[in-house]
Amino acid sequence: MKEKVIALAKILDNITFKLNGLSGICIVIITIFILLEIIARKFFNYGFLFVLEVSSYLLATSWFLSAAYTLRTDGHIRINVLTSVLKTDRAVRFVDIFATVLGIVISLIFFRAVLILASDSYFFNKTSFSPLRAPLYIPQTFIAIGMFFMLIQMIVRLMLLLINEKPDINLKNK
Amino acid sequence: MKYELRREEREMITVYVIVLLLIAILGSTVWVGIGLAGVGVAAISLFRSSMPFIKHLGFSIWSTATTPTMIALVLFVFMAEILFRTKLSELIFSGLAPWVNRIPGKLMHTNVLGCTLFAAVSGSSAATAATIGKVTLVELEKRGYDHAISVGSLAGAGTLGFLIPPSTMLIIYGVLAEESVLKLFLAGFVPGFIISGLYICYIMFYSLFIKEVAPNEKLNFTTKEKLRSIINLGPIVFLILLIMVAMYGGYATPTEAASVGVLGSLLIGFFQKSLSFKAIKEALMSTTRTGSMIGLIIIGAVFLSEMFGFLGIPNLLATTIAAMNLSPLTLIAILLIFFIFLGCIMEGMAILVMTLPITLPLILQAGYTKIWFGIFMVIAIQLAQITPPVGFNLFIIQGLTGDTIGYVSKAALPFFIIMALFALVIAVFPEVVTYMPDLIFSR
Repeated sequence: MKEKVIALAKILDNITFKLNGLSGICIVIITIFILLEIIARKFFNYGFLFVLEVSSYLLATSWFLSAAYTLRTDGHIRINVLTSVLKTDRAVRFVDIFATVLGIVISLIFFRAVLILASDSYFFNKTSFSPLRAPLYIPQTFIAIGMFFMLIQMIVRLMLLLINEKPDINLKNK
Repeated sequence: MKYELRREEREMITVYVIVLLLIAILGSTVWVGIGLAGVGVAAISLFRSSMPFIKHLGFSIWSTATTPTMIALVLFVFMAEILFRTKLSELIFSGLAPWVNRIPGKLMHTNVLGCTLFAAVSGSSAATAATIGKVTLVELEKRGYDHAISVGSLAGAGTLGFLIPPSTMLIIYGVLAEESVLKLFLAGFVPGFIISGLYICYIMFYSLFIKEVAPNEKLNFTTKEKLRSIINLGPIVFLILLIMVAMYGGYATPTEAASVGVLGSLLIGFFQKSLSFKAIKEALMSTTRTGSMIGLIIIGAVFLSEMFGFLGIPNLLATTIAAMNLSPLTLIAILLIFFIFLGCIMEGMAILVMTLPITLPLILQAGYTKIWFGIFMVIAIQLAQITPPVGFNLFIIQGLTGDTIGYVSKAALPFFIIMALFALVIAVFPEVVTYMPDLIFSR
């Protein structure tokens, strides 16, 4: 059982880290897009109105594609007052299990919300109000994918806690 | 006889239950971003069970995640991550050293001045403390400067990353409070420089009258060295001018200025030959992580304050406080104590997003502007960065020196007190904050 959970965590980490790589590419594209837009507007008097819109979709995509990675590497902020006053490791682990279960419930609600958002956009052909008329389901699907993997990462985190393994990857030790 | 609750009583019970929910859910160490949204979901299910929140949550997530201002935030984070990996901090130290050598406290001032300079290109106080500290702490230690003042001044001045623009915290505040980020940035300059000046005065005073912080070494810089030092300060001055001219010359939005800043930082790394492809990749991975963390928190905070709005809480609180007839100054003093207390146990950004939906209506009711409160709030957050046991800058400095949190926070205490007193000063003289934006934007 223990080996299976660890193997599962490894497979998931692989996907999670790749998604974070994609998220990084989004940031690079945003930077390049905005720089090109400035150059085009200043020197060629030619503005691309869609740049800001597309960039904001890329940013939303980036946030969610990195969500699982950030969770796994303990990057999402938590308020640790309770665990800092607890004396035993057992108590800390117990609180962590409780928080993770709560996290799974809220992530599930989040996932459902973004899934409905994306599927509504797809089935009702929703586009943006700008001249670009961008089909909104495309970035929204990426958000749903990111949220899905955060949910799965959260569930695997619970499994790791239950088998008494370290639930987070510490980036500094790597 | 059955006792019927009055409307106001029912509403106050709503508030108490929500505050309890906030403490219970976030106190259970659940992740702040989704935790805030969880409080919103729980509150709306309890008090407006007829409202289908799931669609609203989806729209709320979407509109927050696609807010264009947020692009600026992430790009400023990227820029600081790149600069952290260049040799910019070495240049700042060697550039400042010859100029502070004659004043009491000598090279100790490189901490405060270095942080002030770096704060003008970085939006985060942790990045500022880490970037400047990695060079100054080693250099000052090597030369035998007073360790406590060195650590304390870095902790105090490092926090200025939030106040001196660009500032991620002011962007977040701008988005949540629906206020112009450009105006907030302008308002941050003067208070930031005043705090920096007060720190320099304190170090001089301490050095002259209490205990000499500098070692007994005679450093003489030749004119040639002084000229070279100006060249060393070139890159940072270039970057500051680039961003400032871009934003306030009317050429670019904060987002565009940030992307130009990223390019500028890459160029600095390129010309110094200090930036490898691997380092850029690391900077990028760190940016996505910070971006996602901040993003989810903003999403949770916006959703929660929308739910507060549905439940009529901001109005209720504003009228309740108005009925108490507190003087504005009393209100500010109470808030400051409340923020300092929260600052001990919570991270700065969490305080901002959790308290803003409740505190902003109170402050507007008391007659202060959104701009003013943004600056006040950021100073309160900066204080939170250096109060134990939870203070982000304390952690950063602990990572650099290996001192205990207790030692670092004690060393930072004088700087904490100076900044807290300054927060009260701007409450008495709000013009310190509002003068600059009024001057520039009233034209």
